[in-house]
Amino acid sequence: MDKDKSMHIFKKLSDNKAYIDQKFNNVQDLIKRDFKIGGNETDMYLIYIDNIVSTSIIGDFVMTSLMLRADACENKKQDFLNYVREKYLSIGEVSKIYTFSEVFSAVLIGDSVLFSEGCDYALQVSTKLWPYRGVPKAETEVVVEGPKDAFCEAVSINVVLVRRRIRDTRLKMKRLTVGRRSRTIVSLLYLEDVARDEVVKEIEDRINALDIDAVFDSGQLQQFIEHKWYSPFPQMQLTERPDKAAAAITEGRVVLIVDNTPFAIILPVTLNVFFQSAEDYYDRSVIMSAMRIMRYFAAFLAISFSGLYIAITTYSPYVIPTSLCLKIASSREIVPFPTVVEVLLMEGAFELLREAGIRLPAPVSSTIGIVGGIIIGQAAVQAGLVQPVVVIVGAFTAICTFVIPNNALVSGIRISKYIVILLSAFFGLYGFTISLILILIHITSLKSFDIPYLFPYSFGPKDDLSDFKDSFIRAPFFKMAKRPIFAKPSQKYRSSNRRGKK
Amino acid sequence: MISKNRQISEFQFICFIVLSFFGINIITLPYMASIFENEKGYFLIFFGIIMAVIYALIMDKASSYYKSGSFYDFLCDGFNKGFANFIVLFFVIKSIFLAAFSLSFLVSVIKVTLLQSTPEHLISILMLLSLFYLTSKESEDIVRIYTILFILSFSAFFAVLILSLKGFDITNLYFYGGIKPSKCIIGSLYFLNMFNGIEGSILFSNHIYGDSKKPLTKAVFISSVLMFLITIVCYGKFSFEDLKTKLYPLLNIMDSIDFPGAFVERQDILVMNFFIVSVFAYIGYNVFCSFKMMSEIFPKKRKWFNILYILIFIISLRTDVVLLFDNKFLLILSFLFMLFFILFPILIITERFIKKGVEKNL
Repeated sequence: MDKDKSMHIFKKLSDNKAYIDQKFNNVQDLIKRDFKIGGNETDMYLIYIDNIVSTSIIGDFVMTSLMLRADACENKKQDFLNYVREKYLSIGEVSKIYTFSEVFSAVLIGDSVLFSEGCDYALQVSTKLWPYRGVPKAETEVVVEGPKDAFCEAVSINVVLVRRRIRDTRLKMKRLTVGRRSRTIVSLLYLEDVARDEVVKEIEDRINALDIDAVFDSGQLQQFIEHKWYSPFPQMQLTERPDKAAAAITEGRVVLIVDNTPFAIILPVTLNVFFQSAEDYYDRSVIMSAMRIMRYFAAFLAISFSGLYIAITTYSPYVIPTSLCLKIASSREIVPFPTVVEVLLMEGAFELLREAGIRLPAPVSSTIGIVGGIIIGQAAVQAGLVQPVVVIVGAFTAICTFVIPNNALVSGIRISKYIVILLSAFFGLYGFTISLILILIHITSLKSFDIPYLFPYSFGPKDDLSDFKDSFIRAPFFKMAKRPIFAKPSQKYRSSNRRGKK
Repeated sequence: MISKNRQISEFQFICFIVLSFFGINIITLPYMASIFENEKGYFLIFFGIIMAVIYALIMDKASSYYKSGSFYDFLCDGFNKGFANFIVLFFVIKSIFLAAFSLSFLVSVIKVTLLQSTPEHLISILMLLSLFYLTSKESEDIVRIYTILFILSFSAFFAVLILSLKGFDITNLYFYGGIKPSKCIIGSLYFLNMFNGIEGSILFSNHIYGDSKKPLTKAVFISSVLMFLITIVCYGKFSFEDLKTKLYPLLNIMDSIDFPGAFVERQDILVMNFFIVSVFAYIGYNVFCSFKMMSEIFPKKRKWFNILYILIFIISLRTDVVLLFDNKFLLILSFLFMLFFILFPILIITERFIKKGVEKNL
């Protein structure tokens, strides 16, 4: 590939053909078409890959135009291909290319390349027509009220979905290529005047610095550019919703759309953004604020509830009311395992059911829910392997994780929960407190492009604390006049702070 | 890059100091005050606050000379290298001992209240492992962690404390109570000693953004006033004689509260959690300060500093804080620590004054 980069296109068409044949040896979907124009006086050569191009564009706007309309006398002109480009190729995107690396890249992304005898360059003609499944409905970030469309696997369509929402010349789109072999297109979208230049530059630099074979999904790219690989907490946000991506762009964040994946990456992030759902902004603030508080509370319970139960029942039963304590003690009589084993059994069973439910087709996965939830749960209680309270604790923890709108954060919480469970099992409430402190230390020290992960709860001296208006609560829009921390300080205001007044 | 990450706000600094010094002391303060005072009245604590604030003012003055760069270089610049080494070494030893004393104290309390059957060394190891993780972070991260811990733990603590005002008997309070002046001085010195180790805050003060005016004084004042209020609550809740018999009166206060429709039957457990956070903060503060000092002298040998954890572990196992006053060695050591604590800012200020004087004469 390095050799191709420096290899210039030859003037002699036969040399070009030989080099292309050598490179595309045994690539049988490469279509190579020789033809003559201008009264059979000039040899032309067109190459493209079958099934990723629009044959009608090639037929109507390339071949027909050239073979039927190009005059005999014109092939005498110098810079012949340029003349052809200007006069005969009635296609919007046609550009000159000079090296073989450009030729191969163009062909592999679905463009056609046109060579001519005597020209030491070629024309890249945009004829892409990748197979894609249309604009699908959102599946992982479903909303009751709000847009239903979602990203698909085609990067160009995904960019269009964002552009449809932000019709501004300052919405910039940089096209980067990642992967030595996959040559995956990554589109970097941001608002030029709102996004911080240093963030855009750092993201671009990190992507350009990647030297890997292939990237097939945004999740893969995310792992290459995140700060701390060992953290269970997500340091970038994945979304399948174009409205969410567009909203992030208007806040000053950067969106990466990776080809062949329906998930865009949004960055930088804070922990707070993982608790925000698209729907939060489509319904009234009072209701959505209540939902937000509930999500934070659910996240806390998802991490701590199982551990707290173990700590209290094993070491400090006197904390809870005596009647409840006696009830738990009586139900524990027939159970042969210690509480921690019971809880781990239940949590393990839930994890297995969750995993099985994801992999199986939808009709079967509902059966798994019934089998796991009712039959196994009930049978385990009746067999005396676990006590009913532990089933409730496990189920409640699982329900709490479902409340959190971001799947990556849920995974982080699920892993962290086991640290709390284990330390609580060994050290009771002392271990419980220490484990929560450890998790706090970890998430406080995380940063996403120099923004503290716990912002606005953990802030710097110069940070604007108006971000609290979109944190535990979602303030009314007219109160959220300022953009979040992600935006340039000069573009802090996004609206007038009065309703309908200037 | 985006937020001034290497800097902290004055608010964060105050939270950091209050959490580090308030929680550890408040658990036993009312009892200790009553023992030292041996008289009715809370005038002594009032006097102690004045002493603490004066000390903080001196410390703020000393901190104002240290603007940026390595603190060790700052000391070497002011004194000769040998004396700077002595100061740093003594500071590190002191921090290790303070951390070990606190750890031993924590273990003894937890053994009595929560984990009767768990071996002491396991309790210590868990705390030291979590501190190991804490000290791997940067100064500003630590201050941020402390701020969040402060907000979380103190909001819960004060909510519970307000409820404890039920049953408060104002007739138990005596302002003066016939305290002798000599006892006043000893008592106030004891109060001041609660802030022993606060001189390490000089390592953080140059991270404060902008022109912060006397941040340490504000922090010490807030801590002192909170201590004062809690002592008054304890005096009002229990009679003076009762208080002398209670080692941890705050635990007793919490235990006496009845939440309306409460689910938690033993509220003292809430104070225990607050106490664990406070001790963690105090030990973390001392360990981090000693680490920072050491890394300024030996910047490339950071891994070797982990030996400090082993030292803390060993000392904490060998030290019984309750018997501190019966052990002559520990008593002398405590006296030396106190001396260092008081002389530290005075040394820095004196050196600057002398330097200024010499420059003027030249």
